[in-house]
Amino acid sequence: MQAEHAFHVAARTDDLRRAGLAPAEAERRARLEFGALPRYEEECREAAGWQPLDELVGDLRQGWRALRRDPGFTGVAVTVLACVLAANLILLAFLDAYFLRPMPIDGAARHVELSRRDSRGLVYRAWPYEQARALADAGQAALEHSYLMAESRTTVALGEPTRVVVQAVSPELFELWRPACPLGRVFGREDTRSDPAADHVLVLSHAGWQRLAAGDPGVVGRVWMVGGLPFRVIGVLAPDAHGLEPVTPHFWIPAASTTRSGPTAPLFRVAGVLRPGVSPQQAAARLTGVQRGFESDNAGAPQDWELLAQLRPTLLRERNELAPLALALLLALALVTLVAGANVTGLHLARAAARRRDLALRHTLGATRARLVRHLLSESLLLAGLGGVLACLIAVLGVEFGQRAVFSLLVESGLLPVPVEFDSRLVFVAVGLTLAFSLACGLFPALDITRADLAPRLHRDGAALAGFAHPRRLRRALVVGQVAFSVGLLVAAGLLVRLAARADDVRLGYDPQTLVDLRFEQPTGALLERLRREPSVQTASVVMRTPLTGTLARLPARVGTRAVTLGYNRVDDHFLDTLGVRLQRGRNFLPDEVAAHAPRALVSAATARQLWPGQDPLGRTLELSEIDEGDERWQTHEVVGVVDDVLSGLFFEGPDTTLVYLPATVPALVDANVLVRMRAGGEPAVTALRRVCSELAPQAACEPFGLRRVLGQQRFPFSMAARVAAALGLLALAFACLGLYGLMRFEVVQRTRELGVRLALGASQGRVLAEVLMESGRRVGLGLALGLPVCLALSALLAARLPWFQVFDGAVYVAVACGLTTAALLAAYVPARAAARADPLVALRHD
Amino acid sequence: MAQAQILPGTLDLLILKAVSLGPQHGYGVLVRLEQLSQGALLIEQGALYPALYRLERQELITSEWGQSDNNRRAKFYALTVRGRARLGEEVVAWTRLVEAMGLVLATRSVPR
Repeated sequence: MQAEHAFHVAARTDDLRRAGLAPAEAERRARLEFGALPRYEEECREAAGWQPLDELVGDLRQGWRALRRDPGFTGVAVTVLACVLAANLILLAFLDAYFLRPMPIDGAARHVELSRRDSRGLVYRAWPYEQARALADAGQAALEHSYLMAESRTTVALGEPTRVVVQAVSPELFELWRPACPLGRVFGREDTRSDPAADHVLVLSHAGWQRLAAGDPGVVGRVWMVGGLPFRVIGVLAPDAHGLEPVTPHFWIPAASTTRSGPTAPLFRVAGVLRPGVSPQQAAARLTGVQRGFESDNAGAPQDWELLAQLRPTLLRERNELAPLALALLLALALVTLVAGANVTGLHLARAAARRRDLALRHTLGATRARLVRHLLSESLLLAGLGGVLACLIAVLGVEFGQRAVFSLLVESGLLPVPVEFDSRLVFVAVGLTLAFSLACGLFPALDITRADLAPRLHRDGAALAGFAHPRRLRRALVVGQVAFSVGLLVAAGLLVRLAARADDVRLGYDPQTLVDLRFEQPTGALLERLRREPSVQTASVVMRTPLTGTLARLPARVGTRAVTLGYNRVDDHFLDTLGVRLQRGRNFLPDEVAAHAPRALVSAATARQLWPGQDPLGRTLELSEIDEGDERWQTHEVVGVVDDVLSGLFFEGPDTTLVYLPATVPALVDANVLVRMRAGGEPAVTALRRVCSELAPQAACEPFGLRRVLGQQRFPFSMAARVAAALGLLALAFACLGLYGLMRFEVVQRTRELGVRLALGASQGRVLAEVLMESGRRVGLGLALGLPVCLALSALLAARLPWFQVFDGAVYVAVACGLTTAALLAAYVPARAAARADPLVALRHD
Repeated sequence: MAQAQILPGTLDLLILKAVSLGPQHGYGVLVRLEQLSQGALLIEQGALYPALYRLERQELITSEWGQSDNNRRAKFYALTVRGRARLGEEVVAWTRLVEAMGLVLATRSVPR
């Protein structure tokens, strides 16, 4: 614009010069005629439509100066905004990685997995290799890139035998996924077809390359012994190629290279991407015929099989199980956000109220209400900017830290979960959230303060008498709301902390300190003999299911005419000694009973009480159903002994309600585990065990895992949950106390004159203090009165769904109520004391 | 011709007409109007540019930087299609107004 006007003046000058004037005179005349530019520059800018921008820039500059002048308010507001937004962003990052982000393939939304359902409604998701291959080939019409996938753990001989996670996949997976492969190459269909021996190859993941080959680029071409067979390394994938599963394997091998028969033959999942226009039901219908054509293993009824195709667009498969957890977290976070929002809104209200004179003046000078609101919102915008930047920084650190904490257990067990990243998409979300949140917090106070007639506020007396009702009531309501929400969060936190604490003094019925789960792949009788001869081993036994590994396995049973479901385990005759549990009555299994899988049983005392109350269980029989694929056999077992109760399932479910022991041992027992009772715990014991294992089977490895650690793994999610809940609860409490502090300070300042009068008239400082504290106490009391009933109601709802979660824990409620009250009163104490200590003369002069 | 005051609200119409005769910069519009009215209309320079910006915002004229006669950089304004249409409308309205005013002012006696 300046250039245009300059040209105008120059052109006029030229004309005047041509008309005969002297250059200097011409220029002077031209300028005079044009007039002073600043005079109508504003008019020009308004006409050109730049006024809103000018206003915004002006407001922001003013707002920046105002914020700098009040560092207390700015600091608190920015911190609150940053903390709550960071929490939201961290949660979003985790949710995105597992629930929302689609798989890294084209057509992820159409990715399906096959499963089959039998007549009883049991669902199986994996097939033996030949059947899986047949399904994948037959599915070409409905699915593109149908592939096979089986995950297993095996050993790689690299100096010392190392346990690894391996995925056996068909080459179509790489055709679908197309990962970046900077070193070497991936295997394709041509490899296996042309040269059968060439199918013993492997492709390393980046993490696997780091772990197993220390990042050596010369690893391509080497031959490694995997599970006792030679495999050649042919490639290493890029760091961001994680695969299509939530856990990244150490390496991938071709499905065709796995053993096809025997107990170690893996079962494969079949998956693919639906062709456009084909629905999952259609795909499943086409393949049902193929499924029914398979020979069933135990001559079951093939025509009863039903094939299903389920969509799986994200990495996580068992979304239904984790969804309640995610929902709970979201709810907690929403509460914290509300509390923070109430806090920031309260702060804005205070500031707006303090600026009422300045606003009234602007109003009188012609500013419309909209203009005033825009002016007040500019501060919110600046706070949003600062808070957003800080939130992003905290979130990046938080995601890093959170990942390490949450996944530490998985990583310890050798699994490599897909990393959670704070990527650029989240930054956009962060910006949007920050703006929305901050503006929302600022909008309501701005609208509120400009609603009433501003003119009377110019009067001194008017200021003292009129127009305070609104801000005060609103702020009070906000503080009460904050307290109420904090109650909810703190109660939840308290309950979770109690639950986690209960994990520490759980009574197992046996001592887990020196118990070790050997985790050896194919235990043999020879191994057990060798273990028992080892001096550091007290005793060892074979079990189907190691204690404390998840929930109990269950079997349908019939006792007389009653049908029940009983927990069960298959054990050998050394089990009772190994576990260290007492035989109450009767006898243990005999070695030949164990070897022959005889129809005998040991029952726990609780089981005996349940099935034969008040009677002697010895000699009684019960029928157990042993389900194999498509086949159901009922076998009658005779009870030969009664054993003490133990806790061998999930710790929070308490001691096993029913448990039946059946005799079994290797080699007939498939899926056998070895449980070892050591004479002493610690590293030497573990080393001794490893030595024994490698003596007997050099290429296999065992992974001795103390039962104490297993229990720790069970406890881990609860302690994590307790920590997160406590953090959120304390955050909410901090916000609530901050809000209360701010409110009380505001009220005390407003009432300075009144309190000064009271002090001057002889009220003691103690009385004034007590009165202010009572005021704040009323707020807290109201908040508790609102929050606690809601908590109790929600607890009642939860108690039905989660019987093991003690939601009506009186200690927690009392502790929360007391803690909250104390914290709140402390927060109010400082302004109260200031009020009480005020010099009446100074107070009376306050305006 | 003797000087005349321009009526408020007619500046826009004058500018549109001036620009319709060919693209011109701000100063040139001023000069052109002076010439066309044979010196009768003198427009206050302070009012010109706000009017130009307003008209540009209403998309009745467009602007473009170019070279003036004495090789200086100047912003040239030209009429848009919409501006031409508006000019036509405004001229018709003005003519009608002038006719009506003329009729009233020429009356010597009240009609029966």
